[in-house]
Amino acid sequence: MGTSRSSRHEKWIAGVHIYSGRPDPTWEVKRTAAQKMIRYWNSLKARAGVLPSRPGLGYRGCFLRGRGREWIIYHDAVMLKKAGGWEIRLDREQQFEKALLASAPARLLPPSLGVGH
Amino acid sequence: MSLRITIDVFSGRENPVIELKGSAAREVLERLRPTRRLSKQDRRLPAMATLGYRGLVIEQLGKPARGLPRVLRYAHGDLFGPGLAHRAADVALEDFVCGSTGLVRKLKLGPRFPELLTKEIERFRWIREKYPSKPTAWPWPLRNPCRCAPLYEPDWWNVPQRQPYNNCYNYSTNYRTDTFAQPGRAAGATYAALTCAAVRPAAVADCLIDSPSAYNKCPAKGHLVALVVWPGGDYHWYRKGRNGYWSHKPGGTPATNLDNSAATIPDPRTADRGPYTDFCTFMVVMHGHIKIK
Repeated sequence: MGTSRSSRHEKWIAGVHIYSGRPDPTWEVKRTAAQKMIRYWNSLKARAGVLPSRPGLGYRGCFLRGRGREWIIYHDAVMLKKAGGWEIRLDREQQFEKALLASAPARLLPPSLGVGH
Repeated sequence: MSLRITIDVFSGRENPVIELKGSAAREVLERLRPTRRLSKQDRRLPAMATLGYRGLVIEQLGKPARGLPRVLRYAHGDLFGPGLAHRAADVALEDFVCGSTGLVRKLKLGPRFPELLTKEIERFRWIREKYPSKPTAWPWPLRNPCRCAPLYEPDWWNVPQRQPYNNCYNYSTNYRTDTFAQPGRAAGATYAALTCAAVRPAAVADCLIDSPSAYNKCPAKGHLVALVVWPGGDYHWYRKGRNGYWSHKPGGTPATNLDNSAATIPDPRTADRGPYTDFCTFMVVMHGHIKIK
Protein backbone atom coordinates (compact mmCIF):
# COMPACT_ATOMS: atom_id res chain seq x y z
CA MET A 1 0.00 0.00 0.00
CA GLY A 2 2.72 2.39 1.01
CA THR A 3 4.53 1.66 -2.22
CA SER A 4 1.55 2.44 -4.39
CA ARG A 5 0.87 5.69 -2.55
CA SER A 6 4.49 6.87 -2.94
CA SER A 7 4.44 5.75 -6.57
CA ARG A 8 1.26 7.79 -7.16
CA HIS A 9 3.00 10.87 -5.82
CA GLU A 10 6.23 10.27 -7.69
CA LYS A 11 7.19 13.15 -9.97
CA TRP A 12 7.14 12.88 -13.73
CA ILE A 13 10.42 14.14 -15.16
CA ALA A 14 11.08 15.02 -18.78
CA GLY A 15 14.31 15.98 -20.47
CA VAL A 16 16.00 16.55 -23.79
CA HIS A 17 19.18 14.90 -25.05
CA ILE A 18 20.77 17.84 -26.82
CA TYR A 19 23.86 19.33 -25.23
CA SER A 20 27.44 18.17 -25.08
CA GLY A 21 29.12 20.42 -22.54
CA ARG A 22 26.19 21.64 -20.43
CA PRO A 23 23.98 19.20 -18.60
CA ASP A 24 20.88 18.40 -20.63
CA PRO A 25 17.76 20.32 -19.55
CA THR A 26 15.15 18.49 -17.46
CA TRP A 27 11.84 19.60 -16.02
CA GLU A 28 8.87 18.32 -14.07
CA VAL A 29 5.76 17.39 -16.03
CA LYS A 30 2.31 17.79 -14.47
CA ARG A 31 0.64 14.52 -13.63
CA THR A 32 -2.38 15.29 -15.84
CA ALA A 33 -0.12 16.07 -18.80
CA ALA A 34 1.87 12.88 -18.27
CA GLN A 35 -1.32 10.81 -18.06
CA LYS A 36 -2.51 12.36 -21.33
CA MET A 37 0.76 11.37 -23.01
CA ILE A 38 0.45 7.83 -21.67
CA ARG A 39 -3.10 7.56 -23.01
CA TYR A 40 -1.73 8.68 -26.36
CA TRP A 41 1.05 6.05 -26.10
CA ASN A 42 -1.59 3.40 -25.46
CA SER A 43 -3.29 4.35 -28.74
CA LEU A 44 -0.11 3.94 -30.82
CA LYS A 45 0.70 0.84 -32.84
CA ALA A 46 3.97 -1.09 -32.95
CA ARG A 47 6.69 0.42 -35.11
CA ALA A 48 8.57 -1.88 -37.45
CA GLY A 49 11.74 -1.14 -39.36
CA VAL A 50 14.87 0.83 -38.74
CA LEU A 51 15.00 3.50 -36.10
CA PRO A 52 15.75 7.02 -37.31
CA SER A 53 19.48 7.68 -36.98
CA ARG A 54 20.41 10.23 -34.36
CA PRO A 55 23.21 12.76 -34.86
CA GLY A 56 26.24 12.85 -32.56
CA LEU A 57 25.94 16.55 -31.88
CA GLY A 58 22.67 18.43 -31.43
CA TYR A 59 19.14 17.19 -30.69
CA ARG A 60 19.15 13.44 -30.03
CA GLY A 61 15.65 12.98 -28.62
CA CYS A 62 13.74 13.49 -25.37
CA PHE A 63 12.52 11.35 -22.49
CA LEU A 64 9.73 11.00 -19.94
CA ARG A 65 10.29 9.17 -16.65
CA GLY A 66 7.98 8.37 -13.79
CA ARG A 67 6.47 5.54 -11.75
CA GLY A 68 9.35 3.28 -12.66
CA ARG A 69 8.78 3.68 -16.38
CA GLU A 70 10.80 5.52 -19.01
CA TRP A 71 10.02 6.51 -22.58
CA ILE A 72 12.57 7.78 -25.08
CA ILE A 73 11.21 9.65 -28.05
CA TYR A 74 12.93 10.62 -31.26
CA HIS A 75 10.80 11.85 -34.12
CA ASP A 76 8.31 9.08 -35.06
CA ALA A 77 9.77 6.44 -32.72
CA VAL A 78 8.43 6.26 -29.13
CA MET A 79 10.26 3.66 -27.06
CA LEU A 80 9.22 2.30 -23.68
CA LYS A 81 11.97 0.67 -21.66
CA LYS A 82 11.11 -2.89 -20.69
CA ALA A 83 13.02 -5.59 -18.92
CA GLY A 84 15.45 -6.85 -21.52
CA GLY A 85 14.68 -4.34 -24.26
CA TRP A 86 12.37 -1.68 -25.64
CA GLU A 87 8.82 -1.63 -26.91
CA ILE A 88 8.78 0.66 -29.92
CA ARG A 89 5.66 2.32 -31.29
CA LEU A 90 5.08 4.48 -34.33
CA ASP A 91 3.98 8.08 -33.86
CA ARG A 92 3.68 9.29 -37.44
CA GLU A 93 2.50 12.76 -36.41
CA GLN A 94 5.17 12.99 -33.69
CA GLN A 95 2.51 14.19 -31.26
CA PHE A 96 4.21 12.59 -28.23
CA GLU A 97 7.45 14.42 -28.93
CA LYS A 98 5.68 17.72 -29.61
CA ALA A 99 3.56 17.46 -26.44
CA LEU A 100 6.56 16.59 -24.30
CA LEU A 101 8.70 19.44 -25.63
CA ALA A 102 5.76 21.82 -25.27
CA SER A 103 5.52 20.92 -21.58
CA ALA A 104 8.95 22.46 -20.90
CA PRO A 105 9.04 25.75 -19.01
CA ALA A 106 9.41 28.84 -21.14
CA ARG A 107 12.92 29.57 -22.39
CA LEU A 108 14.36 26.31 -21.03
CA LEU A 109 14.89 24.80 -24.47
CA PRO A 110 16.88 26.41 -27.29
CA PRO A 111 14.82 28.15 -29.97
CA SER A 112 16.23 25.81 -32.63
CA LEU A 113 13.93 23.08 -31.28
CA GLY A 114 10.99 25.12 -32.55
CA VAL A 115 9.01 24.95 -29.33
CA GLY A 116 6.91 28.07 -29.35
CA HIS A 117 7.30 29.56 -25.89
CA MET B 1 21.42 -29.50 -48.85
CA SER B 2 19.79 -26.66 -46.96
CA LEU B 3 20.49 -22.96 -46.46
CA ARG B 4 19.53 -20.46 -43.82
CA ILE B 5 19.29 -16.84 -45.01
CA THR B 6 19.12 -14.22 -42.28
CA ILE B 7 18.13 -10.72 -43.34
CA ASP B 8 20.43 -8.78 -41.02
CA VAL B 9 18.38 -5.65 -40.50
CA PHE B 10 16.94 -5.31 -37.01
CA SER B 11 18.47 -4.18 -33.77
CA GLY B 12 15.82 -4.95 -31.15
CA ARG B 13 13.67 -7.51 -32.94
CA GLU B 14 14.95 -10.85 -34.15
CA ASN B 15 16.08 -10.78 -37.77
CA PRO B 16 13.84 -12.45 -40.37
CA VAL B 17 15.10 -15.91 -41.36
CA ILE B 18 14.34 -17.89 -44.51
CA GLU B 19 15.25 -21.58 -44.76
CA LEU B 20 15.63 -23.25 -48.13
CA LYS B 21 16.10 -26.90 -49.02
CA GLY B 22 16.83 -28.99 -52.09
CA SER B 23 16.62 -27.32 -55.48
CA ALA B 24 15.75 -23.90 -54.01
CA ALA B 25 18.91 -24.00 -51.88
CA ARG B 26 21.00 -25.16 -54.87
CA GLU B 27 19.65 -22.28 -56.96
CA VAL B 28 20.72 -19.72 -54.36
CA LEU B 29 24.13 -21.38 -54.05
CA GLU B 30 24.57 -21.03 -57.80
CA ARG B 31 23.69 -17.34 -57.53
CA LEU B 32 26.32 -17.02 -54.79
CA ARG B 33 29.11 -18.58 -56.85
CA PRO B 34 32.18 -16.31 -56.45
CA THR B 35 33.45 -14.72 -59.64
CA ARG B 36 36.19 -12.09 -59.54
CA ARG B 37 38.04 -11.10 -56.38
CA LEU B 38 37.14 -7.61 -55.09
CA SER B 39 39.77 -4.99 -55.86
CA LYS B 40 41.01 -2.22 -53.58
CA GLN B 41 38.63 0.16 -55.34
CA ASP B 42 35.58 -1.94 -54.50
CA ARG B 43 33.50 -1.03 -51.46
CA ARG B 44 33.90 -3.18 -48.35
CA LEU B 45 31.72 -3.46 -45.29
CA PRO B 46 31.66 -0.61 -42.74
CA ALA B 47 34.16 -1.14 -39.93
CA MET B 48 31.40 -0.79 -37.36
CA ALA B 49 27.96 -2.35 -37.38
CA THR B 50 25.39 0.23 -38.43
CA LEU B 51 21.69 0.51 -37.67
CA GLY B 52 19.41 -0.88 -40.36
CA TYR B 53 20.11 -3.35 -43.17
CA ARG B 54 23.60 -4.87 -42.98
CA GLY B 55 23.39 -7.62 -45.59
CA LEU B 56 22.18 -11.20 -45.98
CA VAL B 57 23.90 -13.76 -43.76
CA ILE B 58 23.96 -17.10 -45.55
CA GLU B 59 24.62 -20.31 -43.60
CA GLN B 60 25.08 -23.68 -45.23
CA LEU B 61 23.54 -26.19 -42.86
CA GLY B 62 24.95 -29.30 -44.48
CA LYS B 63 28.31 -29.96 -46.09
CA PRO B 64 29.49 -26.60 -47.47
CA ALA B 65 29.68 -26.17 -51.24
CA ARG B 66 33.16 -25.91 -52.72
CA GLY B 67 34.51 -22.38 -52.83
CA LEU B 68 32.13 -21.02 -50.19
CA PRO B 69 32.61 -20.90 -46.40
CA ARG B 70 29.95 -22.28 -44.09
CA VAL B 71 28.83 -18.72 -43.20
CA LEU B 72 29.14 -15.69 -45.43
CA ARG B 73 27.65 -12.25 -45.80
CA TYR B 74 26.18 -10.93 -49.06
CA ALA B 75 25.71 -7.23 -49.74
CA HIS B 76 24.99 -5.57 -53.08
CA GLY B 77 26.51 -8.38 -55.11
CA ASP B 78 29.60 -8.72 -52.90
CA LEU B 79 30.50 -11.76 -50.79
CA PHE B 80 32.40 -11.57 -47.51
CA GLY B 81 33.58 -14.38 -45.28
CA PRO B 82 36.69 -16.27 -44.20
CA GLY B 83 38.99 -16.10 -47.24
CA LEU B 84 36.19 -14.57 -49.25
CA ALA B 85 35.94 -11.05 -50.71
CA HIS B 86 34.48 -11.65 -54.13
CA ARG B 87 31.76 -10.56 -56.52
CA ALA B 88 28.89 -13.06 -56.66
CA ALA B 89 27.54 -14.55 -59.89
CA ASP B 90 24.19 -12.88 -59.16
CA VAL B 91 24.52 -9.24 -58.16
CA ALA B 92 20.75 -8.95 -57.61
CA LEU B 93 20.25 -11.67 -55.01
CA GLU B 94 18.80 -9.11 -52.59
CA ASP B 95 16.00 -8.46 -55.05
CA PHE B 96 15.42 -12.21 -55.37
CA VAL B 97 15.18 -12.53 -51.59
CA CYS B 98 13.83 -9.18 -50.38
CA GLY B 99 11.97 -7.67 -53.34
CA SER B 100 8.19 -7.34 -53.57
CA THR B 101 7.97 -10.73 -55.30
CA GLY B 102 10.89 -12.26 -53.39
CA LEU B 103 11.20 -15.04 -50.84
CA VAL B 104 10.57 -12.60 -47.98
CA ARG B 105 6.84 -12.56 -48.87
CA LYS B 106 6.50 -15.97 -47.23
CA LEU B 107 7.44 -14.54 -43.84
CA LYS B 108 4.27 -12.47 -43.47
CA LEU B 109 6.03 -9.41 -42.13
CA GLY B 110 3.41 -7.08 -43.55
CA PRO B 111 2.76 -5.66 -47.01
CA ARG B 112 5.10 -2.70 -46.48
CA PHE B 113 8.09 -4.74 -45.35
CA PRO B 114 9.57 -5.48 -48.82
CA GLU B 115 9.33 -1.79 -49.71
CA LEU B 116 10.98 -0.78 -46.44
CA LEU B 117 13.68 -3.37 -46.93
CA THR B 118 14.38 -2.18 -50.47
CA LYS B 119 14.88 1.35 -49.16
CA GLU B 120 17.14 -0.01 -46.43
CA ILE B 121 19.26 -1.93 -48.95
CA GLU B 122 19.82 1.30 -50.88
CA ARG B 123 20.60 3.19 -47.67
CA PHE B 124 23.22 0.56 -46.79
CA ARG B 125 24.76 0.97 -50.26
CA TRP B 126 25.19 4.66 -49.45
CA ILE B 127 26.64 3.81 -46.00
CA ARG B 128 29.17 1.46 -47.59
CA GLU B 129 30.35 4.32 -49.76
CA LYS B 130 30.41 6.82 -46.93
CA TYR B 131 31.74 4.93 -43.93
CA PRO B 132 35.43 4.16 -43.67
CA SER B 133 35.80 0.40 -44.03
CA LYS B 134 39.02 0.18 -42.08
CA PRO B 135 39.58 2.74 -39.33
CA THR B 136 42.96 1.17 -38.68
CA ALA B 137 43.97 2.17 -42.19
CA TRP B 138 44.39 5.76 -41.13
CA PRO B 139 47.61 7.11 -42.54
CA TRP B 140 50.26 6.23 -40.01
CA PRO B 141 52.36 7.98 -39.05
CA LEU B 142 51.18 11.38 -40.17
CA ARG B 143 53.80 14.02 -40.98
CA ASN B 144 53.22 15.54 -37.60
CA PRO B 145 52.56 12.69 -35.16
CA CYS B 146 51.33 13.74 -31.76
CA ARG B 147 53.54 11.74 -29.47
CA CYS B 148 52.23 13.30 -26.25
CA ALA B 149 48.57 13.13 -27.21
CA PRO B 150 46.16 10.65 -25.62
CA LEU B 151 45.35 7.40 -27.34
CA TYR B 152 41.92 6.96 -28.87
CA GLU B 153 40.45 4.50 -26.38
CA PRO B 154 36.64 4.72 -26.58
CA ASP B 155 36.21 1.35 -24.86
CA TRP B 156 37.59 2.85 -21.67
CA TRP B 157 35.14 5.78 -21.69
CA ASN B 158 32.07 4.07 -23.12
CA VAL B 159 31.06 2.02 -20.08
CA PRO B 160 28.08 2.63 -17.76
CA GLN B 161 30.19 3.72 -14.79
CA ARG B 162 31.97 6.48 -16.79
CA GLN B 163 30.09 7.38 -19.96
CA PRO B 164 27.04 9.22 -18.51
CA TYR B 165 29.03 11.22 -15.96
CA ASN B 166 31.80 12.59 -18.17
CA ASN B 167 31.22 15.03 -21.00
CA CYS B 168 33.18 16.51 -23.90
CA TYR B 169 35.27 18.65 -21.52
CA ASN B 170 36.29 15.59 -19.47
CA TYR B 171 37.08 13.62 -22.60
CA SER B 172 39.01 16.33 -24.39
CA THR B 173 41.15 17.07 -21.37
CA ASN B 174 41.48 13.31 -20.72
CA TYR B 175 40.43 13.94 -17.13
CA ARG B 176 37.73 11.83 -15.55
CA THR B 177 35.80 13.61 -12.79
CA ASP B 178 32.39 11.88 -12.99
CA THR B 179 30.87 15.35 -12.51
CA PHE B 180 30.08 16.43 -16.10
CA ALA B 181 32.88 19.00 -15.71
CA GLN B 182 32.23 22.62 -16.61
CA PRO B 183 34.84 25.10 -17.82
CA GLY B 184 35.83 27.43 -14.99
CA ARG B 185 33.91 25.63 -12.24
CA ALA B 186 37.03 24.40 -10.43
CA ALA B 187 38.45 27.93 -10.47
CA GLY B 188 35.19 29.64 -9.48
CA ALA B 189 35.05 31.29 -12.89
CA THR B 190 32.24 29.50 -14.72
CA TYR B 191 31.22 30.99 -18.07
CA ALA B 192 28.28 33.39 -17.98
CA ALA B 193 27.23 33.10 -21.61
CA LEU B 194 27.45 30.54 -24.36
CA THR B 195 29.82 32.40 -26.61
CA CYS B 196 33.46 31.87 -27.51
CA ALA B 197 34.31 35.05 -25.62
CA ALA B 198 32.78 33.65 -22.41
CA VAL B 199 33.78 29.98 -22.48
CA ARG B 200 37.38 30.52 -23.57
CA PRO B 201 38.44 32.47 -20.39
CA ALA B 202 36.60 29.94 -18.22
CA ALA B 203 38.81 27.18 -19.65
CA VAL B 204 41.89 29.36 -19.26
CA ALA B 205 40.96 29.71 -15.57
CA ASP B 206 41.21 25.88 -15.40
CA CYS B 207 44.79 26.29 -16.73
CA LEU B 208 44.18 25.26 -20.34
CA ILE B 209 46.49 27.29 -22.56
CA ASP B 210 44.80 29.29 -25.28
CA SER B 211 46.66 28.59 -28.53
CA PRO B 212 44.71 30.16 -31.39
CA SER B 213 47.75 29.99 -33.64
CA ALA B 214 48.26 26.25 -33.11
CA TYR B 215 46.66 25.79 -36.52
CA ASN B 216 45.94 22.07 -35.95
CA LYS B 217 49.60 21.34 -35.15
CA CYS B 218 50.48 19.20 -32.16
CA PRO B 219 52.30 21.03 -29.37
CA ALA B 220 55.76 19.89 -28.28
CA LYS B 221 54.31 19.10 -24.84
CA GLY B 222 50.78 18.30 -23.77
CA HIS B 223 47.97 17.75 -26.26
CA LEU B 224 45.75 19.86 -28.45
CA VAL B 225 42.03 20.43 -27.87
CA ALA B 226 39.54 22.56 -29.76
CA LEU B 227 36.62 24.63 -28.46
CA VAL B 228 33.48 25.19 -30.54
CA VAL B 229 30.24 26.89 -29.58
CA TRP B 230 26.58 26.52 -30.48
CA PRO B 231 25.75 30.21 -30.09
CA GLY B 232 23.46 30.65 -27.11
CA GLY B 233 22.99 26.87 -26.79
CA ASP B 234 26.07 24.97 -25.65
CA TYR B 235 29.80 24.48 -26.13
CA HIS B 236 31.74 21.42 -27.27
CA TRP B 237 35.32 20.16 -27.19
CA TYR B 238 37.41 17.91 -29.42
CA ARG B 239 40.82 16.41 -28.71
CA LYS B 240 43.61 15.57 -31.11
CA GLY B 241 44.83 12.00 -30.74
CA ARG B 242 48.22 10.37 -31.09
CA ASN B 243 47.53 9.40 -34.71
CA GLY B 244 46.85 13.03 -35.63
CA TYR B 245 43.09 12.60 -35.93
CA TRP B 246 40.48 14.14 -33.65
CA SER B 247 37.85 12.48 -31.49
CA HIS B 248 35.15 13.73 -29.14
CA LYS B 249 32.41 12.72 -26.73
CA PRO B 250 29.04 14.43 -27.25
CA GLY B 251 27.74 14.91 -23.70
CA GLY B 252 26.85 11.63 -22.01
CA THR B 253 26.92 9.70 -25.28
CA PRO B 254 29.81 7.45 -26.38
CA ALA B 255 33.20 8.82 -27.40
CA THR B 256 33.67 8.65 -31.15
CA ASN B 257 36.18 9.55 -33.86
CA LEU B 258 33.47 10.44 -36.36
CA ASP B 259 31.70 13.72 -37.03
CA ASN B 260 27.97 14.28 -37.68
CA SER B 261 28.44 13.02 -41.24
CA ALA B 262 30.17 9.83 -40.04
CA ALA B 263 33.50 11.08 -41.40
CA THR B 264 36.83 10.93 -39.58
CA ILE B 265 38.08 14.27 -38.31
CA PRO B 266 41.47 15.48 -39.58
CA ASP B 267 40.59 19.06 -38.57
CA PRO B 268 37.67 20.13 -36.34
CA ARG B 269 37.42 23.43 -38.19
CA THR B 270 36.16 21.59 -41.26
CA ALA B 271 34.21 18.78 -39.52
CA ASP B 272 30.41 18.51 -39.63
CA ARG B 273 29.68 19.94 -36.17
CA GLY B 274 25.87 20.12 -36.31
CA PRO B 275 24.65 23.20 -34.47
CA TYR B 276 28.11 24.03 -33.00
CA THR B 277 28.80 26.49 -35.79
CA ASP B 278 31.36 28.77 -34.14
CA PHE B 279 34.92 27.53 -34.07
CA CYS B 280 36.53 29.39 -31.14
CA THR B 281 40.12 28.34 -30.70
CA PHE B 282 42.68 25.61 -30.20
CA MET B 283 43.99 25.11 -26.67
CA VAL B 284 46.79 23.05 -25.14
CA VAL B 285 46.27 20.73 -22.18
CA MET B 286 49.46 20.25 -20.16
CA HIS B 287 49.06 16.93 -18.38
CA GLY B 288 48.87 17.39 -14.63
CA HIS B 289 48.60 21.17 -14.85
CA ILE B 290 44.87 21.59 -15.31
CA LYS B 291 42.13 21.34 -12.70
CA ILE B 292 38.54 20.75 -13.73
CA LYS B 293 35.39 19.88 -11.86
